[in-house]
Amino acid sequence: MRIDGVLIDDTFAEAFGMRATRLIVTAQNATWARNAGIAATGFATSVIGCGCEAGIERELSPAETPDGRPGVALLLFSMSTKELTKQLERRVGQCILTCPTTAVFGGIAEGDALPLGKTLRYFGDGFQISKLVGGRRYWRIPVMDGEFLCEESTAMVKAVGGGNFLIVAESPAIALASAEAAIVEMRKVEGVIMPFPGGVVRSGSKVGSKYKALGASTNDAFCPSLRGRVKSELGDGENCVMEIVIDGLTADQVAQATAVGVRAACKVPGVRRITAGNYGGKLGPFHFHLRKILGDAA
Amino acid sequence: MSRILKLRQAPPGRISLAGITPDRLAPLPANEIERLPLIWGKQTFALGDFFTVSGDAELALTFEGFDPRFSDAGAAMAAGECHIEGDAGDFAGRDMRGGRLVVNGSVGRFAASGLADGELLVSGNAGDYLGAALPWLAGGMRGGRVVVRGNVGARCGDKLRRGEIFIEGDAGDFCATRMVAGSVIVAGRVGAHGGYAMRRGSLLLLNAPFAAPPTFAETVMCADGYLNLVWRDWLARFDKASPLAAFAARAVANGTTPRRWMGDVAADGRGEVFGFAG
Repeated sequence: MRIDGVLIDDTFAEAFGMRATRLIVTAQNATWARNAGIAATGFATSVIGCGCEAGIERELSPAETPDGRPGVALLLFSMSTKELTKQLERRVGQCILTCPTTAVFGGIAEGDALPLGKTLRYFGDGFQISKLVGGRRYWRIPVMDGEFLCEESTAMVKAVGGGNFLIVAESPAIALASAEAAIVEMRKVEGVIMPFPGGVVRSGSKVGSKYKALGASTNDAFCPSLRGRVKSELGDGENCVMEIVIDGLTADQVAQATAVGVRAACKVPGVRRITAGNYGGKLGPFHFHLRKILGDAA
Repeated sequence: MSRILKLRQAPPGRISLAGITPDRLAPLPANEIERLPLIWGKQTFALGDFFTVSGDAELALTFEGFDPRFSDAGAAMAAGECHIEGDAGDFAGRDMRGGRLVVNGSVGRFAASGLADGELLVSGNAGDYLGAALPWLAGGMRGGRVVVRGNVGARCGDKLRRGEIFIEGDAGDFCATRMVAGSVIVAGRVGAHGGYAMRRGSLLLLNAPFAAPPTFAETVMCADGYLNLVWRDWLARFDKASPLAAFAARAVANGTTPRRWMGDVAADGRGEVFGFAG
C-alpha cells in the first residue's frame, strides 16, 4: 500500500489500556489559560518516568467553557486510577491553583469520579466555600488574586495509550517537516494528545537493555547511525526516523488520529516509509493495523 | 395523562395528605386510592370522601381543586410530578426526596421544610418558614430547589442546610437566618434582619439593598467565577419571562459588580451576602 508514493508497512501499532480524564482550565484570557495548561501538562511525556502522559487537547472559546471565559482542554492519561489521582492532585495543585485567574472544571460527563477540589479545598484553611450549581459541586478557595474556582471532581474513563507510527525519511529535516505536518492535522482530532515534545519523539525505545537496571533502551533497529552494524530495519536512503505517539480517550479516536497523521506525513517529499511499533501483539490489547486504518479512512 | 383527584368537598378541618404522592399512588387502582384513610382528630375519612379519582395510573398526579386546610401536599414524595390547582396548605413539599411539586396557587407555612431533593414550584406566594427547619429540628431544607413566583413570609430559609430557594417577589423579615449552607435568592425587597446569625451559605439580593449589621464584614468582591456559573445555570433553567433569567441575561451581557459581605461573625461567620443593589 502506498499513499502519495510513500510505502505503508503491513504492520500495526500496539497500544495499552489506560485511565484518563479531561480537565477544562479557564482564565481571564487565553494566554493565562494556556500558561496553566502548559505547566500542568509539563514533564508528562511518558508514564515510564513521568507518572502520566498529558497534553493540551485544544484551546476553547468562551462559548465552550462553563464560566464563559477562554480556556484549554487538557487530557491526562495514567496506568492506574491511583496514579492518575496522585498526578491530578499534584499537577492541579501546583500548576493550575497557582496560576493567576484560573478555574478548573471536569471535562468528561460520565465516569468514575476522581477528586479535584475535593482534596484541593483544604488549601482554603477553612475559608473554602462549597456551592452546588446546576447539580455539580464546586469549591471556591480564597487566593491572593481572588478566588480559585474548582469543581469537586472530574470523571475518569478507560482510555487507550501508546498508539503510534514511525516516519522513515531521507533526512532529519524531511522527517521533522513530515512529523510537524502530521501533528498539525492530528491536533484537530478530538480526544487525543501526542504527549512528547511538539508531539514528536526521536528516541523510540525497545523493551529491555544489556544493562540490567534498564527496562527499555534505544530502538537500535531504527537508529540510522547503527545501520550496517546491527540488524537494522532501515534500508538504503532511510536516514532518519521520527515517531508520533498517540493517547486517546477511545480506540476510534486513536485510529482516526493515526489515519489523518499518516496521510499528512506522506505529503512531504522525501518520506520513504511509514511503519509502526509493536511487541508482537502479545502485550497490548489494542492493535492499530496501518493499512486497515488507512483503508477504512479512505 | 396523569391520575386526577378532583375536589368533591372541602375538609371539615386540617387534614394531612401525607403519603398521597404520585409515586405511591401509581401502582394502586382507583378504587383502592379512594379508600385510602385520612385522619382528622379521632375521625377517619377516606380520600374518596373529598376527591373523585380518575385518570391513568402514571407517575403523575393532578389535584383539580384544592383546599388550604389540606396540609402536607406532596410530602415525602420521591418521584414523579404532582400538580395542585389551587392554594395548598401548610407543609407542602415537606421532606420531599425527589420529583416535582407544582402549586398553581399559594402555599402555607413550612413549605419545603426538610426537602432533600426534587423541586417545589409555587406560582403564588408562600407563607412563613419556607424551607425552614421545624422547631424541633436542627436543619431546614437539605437539598433540592424551591422557586416561588410571588412573595414569601418571614424566616424563609431559616437553618437551611443545602439546596436553593428562589424568590421572585419580596421576602419577609429574618430571611436566610441561621443558614448552615445552601443559597437563598431574592429578586424583590427583603425585610429586616436578613442573614441574621448565618453560619455559612449565600444570600443573593438582586434588587434590594443589604442593611449590613455590625456582625457582617464587607469584603472585596472576587466571586466572578462562581457568579458566571450561576448566571449560566439560571439562563438554562428559567424561562425568559422569569425575572431571574432576565437578571442573569443582563449580568452575562453587561457584567455585575455586587457588594459582598461575610458573616454573621457572631455565628460561624463564613456566610456571604451579595448585594447587587448596593
